[in-house]
Amino acid sequence: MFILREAFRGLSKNKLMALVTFGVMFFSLFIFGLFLISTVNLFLLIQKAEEKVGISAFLEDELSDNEIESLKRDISSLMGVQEVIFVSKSEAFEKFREDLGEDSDLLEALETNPLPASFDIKLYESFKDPKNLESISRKVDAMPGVEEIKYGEEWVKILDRVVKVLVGIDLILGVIISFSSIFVVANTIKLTVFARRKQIEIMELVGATHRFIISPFLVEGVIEGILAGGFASGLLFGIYNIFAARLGDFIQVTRELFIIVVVFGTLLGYIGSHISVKKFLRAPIGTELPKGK
Amino acid sequence: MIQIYDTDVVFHKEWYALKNINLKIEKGEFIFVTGPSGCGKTTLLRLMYMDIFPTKGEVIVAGYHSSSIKSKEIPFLRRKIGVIFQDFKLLQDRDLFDNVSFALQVTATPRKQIKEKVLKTIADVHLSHKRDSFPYQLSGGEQQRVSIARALVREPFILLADEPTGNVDPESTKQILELLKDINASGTAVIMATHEIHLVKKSPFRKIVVKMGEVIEDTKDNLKEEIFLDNL
Repeated sequence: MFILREAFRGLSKNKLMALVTFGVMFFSLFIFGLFLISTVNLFLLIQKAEEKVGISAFLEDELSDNEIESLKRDISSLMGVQEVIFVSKSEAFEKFREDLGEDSDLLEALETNPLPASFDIKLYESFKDPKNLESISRKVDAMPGVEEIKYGEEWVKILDRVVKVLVGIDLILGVIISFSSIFVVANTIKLTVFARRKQIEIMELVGATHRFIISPFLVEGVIEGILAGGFASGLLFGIYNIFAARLGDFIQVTRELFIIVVVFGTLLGYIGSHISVKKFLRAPIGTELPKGK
Repeated sequence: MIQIYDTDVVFHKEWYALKNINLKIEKGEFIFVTGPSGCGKTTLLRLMYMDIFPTKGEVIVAGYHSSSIKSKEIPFLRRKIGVIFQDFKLLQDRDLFDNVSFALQVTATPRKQIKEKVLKTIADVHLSHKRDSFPYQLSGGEQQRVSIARALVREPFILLADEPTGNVDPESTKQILELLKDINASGTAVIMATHEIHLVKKSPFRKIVVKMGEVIEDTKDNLKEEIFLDNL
C-alpha cells in the first residue's frame, strides 16, 4: 500500500520530470514500434519470396500412370519434400495458354502438345536453402523417368544472400534500438531519481530494505512505460489507418504488434528504474567517499 | 554494545581518515566526540551505523560484525540505531507528522501503531502543536527536533548525533542538548559529535577527543586490552 501511494505521490509531485520521462519513453517506443512493423513486413516479404522456391521435375513422355504414381511416391519420400503436385501435359499446355494471354492464338498452329508433364515439388521452409535444393534436385534428377530439373539455381542463391543480409541488419538494428532505448530511458529516470535522492538517503538511514526503496520507483516506471507504450501504439495505429488505404496489402499490422510495444514499454520502465535507483543505493549516505569494502 | 578495535579507515589508498581506533561504548552512555573539523568525527559515527567499513580492524555494533555483516542485514542494524545530522535531512514536501512516520512506513509498520508511536514521539520532542507544519515553516531548532523524533520513533538503543547543533541558534542548541540528555536519561545511549568545545567543557559526560584521525583523549579508561579480552 505504501509502495503504491509513494509511486503515485512521486508522479504527481514531480509532474515535469514524469512528463519528460513519459516523452522520452513514448519516442523510444514509437521508434521501436516502427522497427517492429518493418521487421514483421520484412519477414512477410521474405516468406512470400520463399514460397515461390520449389523444384520442377519434367518427365519423359512415355511414362505409364503406374510409373508416374511410383515416381511421385519416391519423390515424396525424400527428406524435406512437403508436397508433390503432378502437372499433366494438357494442364501444362492450358497454363501456358493462360500465360500467353492475347497471344495464345499462336498455339493454334501447333499440331501436337510439345510440353512435358512435370512434378511441382514444394519443400519445407528449412530446406529452401541453396544447399538442400541442390541436393534434393540431384536425387530427383537421378530417378528414372525424370528428364530435366529446374529450381532457379541462380535466383535462389541471390535470394538466400539477400535474406541473410536483411535479417542480419534487422537483428543489429533491433539490438541497437532496444539497448539505446533502455540507455536513454534509464538516464532520464536517473534525473527523476536524482531529484529525490534525499528520500532514498533517508529511507536507507532509517532501515528500509533495498527492495522497499526500489519498489515505488519501479511502480512509477512501469506505469509510465504502460502509458507511453499505449500512446505510442495509438499513434502507430493512427498513422497506419491513415495510410492503410494507399498501402493496401503491402504493409501489414497486427494487434499483437501493439501489445508487444506496450509490453516493451513496461519492461523499459521497469529496467530503466531499476538501473537508475540501484546507482543511488550504492552511494554511501552523506558523502561520496568510497567504502572501504 | 559498540566495540571498535584496531580500526583504520583509509581513503584513496593512503589518506588515513581514522587510525588505530579502540573504543568500547556501553549501554546508556552519553558521549561527546569532539575535535576540529575534518578530524574524523563523522567517519567514526559512520563506522557505527556501517555506512563505511574499516580498512583494518573490526567494528561490532549490536552483535553485527563489520567483517561479516551482509548488505541485506544493514537495514536491520539501522533500525536499531537513530542518526541525526547537522542538515536535518527532512523531506520538504511532507509535514512534521509524515516526516516522522516515514521512518515507520518504510519498514512496513502497521498503520495503527504508526499513529500511536508518532504522536507520542512528537510529544516527547515538544512539537505536538506543530504536527501539521512543513519543514520550511519551522525554525532550525524545531527542524532538528523533528529529525530527532524521526530517529527516536523506532526506539533505537543508541542515537548518533553528527553536529546536531551546527545549524541552530544558541537557544535552540540549549534545547537540543536538554532533549538529548532527556533521551539518554530514558535509557538510550547518545553519541554526539561536535566541534563546539564550549558545549563539552563543563559536561560531566564521557569525552572522546579526535585529532587527525586518532583518539588523543578518552575520559573513560577503555584500554585496547579490555576490548580484546571481551572478544575472546
